[in-house]
Amino acid sequence: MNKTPARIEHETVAGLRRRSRRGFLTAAIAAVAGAGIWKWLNIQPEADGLVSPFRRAMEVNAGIARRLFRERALAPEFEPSQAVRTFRRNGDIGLAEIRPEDWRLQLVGVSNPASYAQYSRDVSSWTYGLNASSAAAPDVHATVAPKKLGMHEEDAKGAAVKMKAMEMPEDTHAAVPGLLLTMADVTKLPHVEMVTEFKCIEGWSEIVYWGGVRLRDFLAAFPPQRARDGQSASTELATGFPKYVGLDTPDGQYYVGIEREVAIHPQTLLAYELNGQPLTPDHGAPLRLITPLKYGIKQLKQIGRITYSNIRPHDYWHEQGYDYYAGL
Amino acid sequence: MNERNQIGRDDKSTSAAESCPKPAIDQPAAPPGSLFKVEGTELSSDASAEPSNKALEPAMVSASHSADDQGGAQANNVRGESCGEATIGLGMTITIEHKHSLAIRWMHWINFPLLAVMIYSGLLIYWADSQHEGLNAHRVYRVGFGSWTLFRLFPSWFYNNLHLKFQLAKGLGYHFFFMWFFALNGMAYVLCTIFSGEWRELLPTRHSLGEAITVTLHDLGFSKRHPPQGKFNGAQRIAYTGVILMGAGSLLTGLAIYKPTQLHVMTALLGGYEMARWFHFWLTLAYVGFFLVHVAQVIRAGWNNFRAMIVGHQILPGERAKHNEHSL
Repeated sequence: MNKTPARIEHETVAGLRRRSRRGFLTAAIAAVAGAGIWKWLNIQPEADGLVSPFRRAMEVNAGIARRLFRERALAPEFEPSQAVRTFRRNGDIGLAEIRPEDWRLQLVGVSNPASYAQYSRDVSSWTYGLNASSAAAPDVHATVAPKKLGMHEEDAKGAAVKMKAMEMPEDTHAAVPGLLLTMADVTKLPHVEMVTEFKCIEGWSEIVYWGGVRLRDFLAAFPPQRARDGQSASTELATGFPKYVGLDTPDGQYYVGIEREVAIHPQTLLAYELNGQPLTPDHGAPLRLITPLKYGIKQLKQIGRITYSNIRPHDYWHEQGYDYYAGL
Repeated sequence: MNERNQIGRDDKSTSAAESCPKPAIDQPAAPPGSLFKVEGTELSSDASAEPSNKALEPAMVSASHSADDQGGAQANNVRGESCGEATIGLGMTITIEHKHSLAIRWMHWINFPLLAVMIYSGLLIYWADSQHEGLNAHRVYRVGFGSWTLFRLFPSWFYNNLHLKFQLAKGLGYHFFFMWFFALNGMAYVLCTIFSGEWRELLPTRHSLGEAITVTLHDLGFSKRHPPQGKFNGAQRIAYTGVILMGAGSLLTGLAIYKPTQLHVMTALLGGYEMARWFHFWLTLAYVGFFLVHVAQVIRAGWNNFRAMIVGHQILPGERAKHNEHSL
C-alpha cells in the first residue's frame, strides 16, 4: 500500500498522459468527422440551384414560419414624408417598354370566365406592342437568357439597362382561356395607399410610398374557380380559394408564386403608383405586386398574367437557389 | 518531516456521467483552485482521518477514501473526471486538476466551426449588399464620422481573395441551415453552465472589472501585478460572459432581420431593420475581435492550458495551484 511520492507523481502524470492521448484522439476523430459532414453536405445533389440539405432546411424553415406566423402581422406603415424620393431600381428581368394602350392583364383560373365581357379563349395570344425606342433592336436581346443576381455588379458600374423584347414562351397551340383586363378594370377597385419598407434579399431596404388596389379586392372582384364542391355558404375569401397566385411578366421571363395567405393580406397590393405618380417602366409599369410580407424578388414588376392555382407556380429566383417562401 | 503524500480526487466524479459539467471547485467560500492537503507519509491512514473535514470542501476528497489498492492516481485513470495531486519530497506539488467538463469542451469546439460557417455565409450574404460601391454606397457599413468616411467594409481585394462574390443564394442556404445548430449549441451551453453551477465562475462579480483592468495592464506589460487567479480571472469572466451575451444578441438581431414583418415589434425595438442589420454585422466583427484576443491569450498561456480544453485536465505545480496561469 505504501507508495513513494515519486511513484505517486509518476502515476498521476502517466494518468494524465493516457487521458491526453484519448482526448486528442477523440478531438482528431471529431475534426475529421466534422470535415466529412461539411464535405458530404456540399456534394449532395442540387435541388433548384441549391444543394439539397440546405434546400430542405429552407423548406422546413418556411413551414415553421408559415405555421407560426400565418401572415397575420401587419407591417409597420410610415408617413409619406418618410418615403424615398427616388426608389432604387435593382432588376430589369422581364421588363419591357410596353405601349400603355397595348397592355392587358391576363387572368387565368377565374370562376366562370365566359360570363365576363373581357373573356378571351386564349389570353396567351395577346401581343404587347412595344414603344419604338425599345423595339429598335429586338433581335439583339431576343434570346437573352435569364440573368443571375450577378448582374448588379454591372449595374454598379453604371452599365445601361436595356429593355428586352417580347418573347412569349407559351406553346402557341395550347389555348389558355381567361380574361384580358385593362387598367380601367383594375383602377375601378378601391384605391389604397401604403407607405412601407421595401426589402431586397440583397440586404438593402427603402421606405416607399405606393398606390394601388388590394389584391384581395381584385380577388373578390374576379373570384377564382372554387373547388368542385365549392357550394360553401361562407363568404370568407379564403374558403375554397386556391393555394397560390402566380404572376408572370408579359414576356414570361420573370415569374413568381405567392401563397394564399399572402394574396389575401390587406397589405398586398397591385400597385400602379409610386409617390403618387404612375409607375415608370423600370419600376414595373403599369402594374406590379407589392407586399411587405415578401422580399423584393417576389414583388413582380410589370404583371402580364395572374394565375390562380392549387399547384405551386414556378418561381424565377427559387430556380436560382433562393427560398421559394422568401417571407418576411 | 517534509514528506507529504496526498492524492486529491474529485469525489463527485464517481457519478461521472459527464452529461453536464461538474465544476471541480465550485465553492465560493473556498478560494478556487485551493486543494485539500493531507499530511503524513501513509496515504490511507491519513486519508481515513479526513472525511469530517471534507464537508467544507466537497469537491476534493482524498483518493484513499476509496481505499482501493490501486491508489488514487490509478483511479484517476479509470475515472474521467478526477483530480490528482502528488506532493513529493522537496515540497514540490504536482496537481492534476479537472478544469473543463466534457460537455463544455464539446460545445466549445462545436461552436468553433459553426461560428466560422455562420461568419463565412454571412459574408456571402453581406457581399450582395456591399458591392454597390459606386451606385448605392452604404450609409451604415462604414467607418467614418458624419459624412466623412475613412473606409468601407469590405474592400474588393477582400471579396476577391476569399471568393465571396456572387454566392448570395448559397450564403442564405448555409446561414439558415447552420443557424439552428449555432443557436441550439449556444443555448445548451448556457443551460449547462446554469445547471452545473458553473455560472458562478463565469459571471462577473463586483471585483471583476477592477481585476480585468489589472490583468489587462499586466498582460500588456504595463504592470507586474497580477491578481490571484481562480479558474477564470476578472477579464476572463467579463469576456466569456460578454461573448455569450453577444451570441444572444446575434440571435435576436438575426431574428429581427429574418422576419422583420412578423416580428416587427422586435425589429422596431432594435431601432429598425437597418439598425438591426448594423448590430448583427458589428457583433460579428466583435466575434472576430474576441477570437483574435482569445487565440493570442491561449498561445500566451501555453500548452497546459490549451490541453485542458481538449482533455479536460491540467497540471498545476504546487506553487501555482492557487495562482493558475491566466488564460483567456
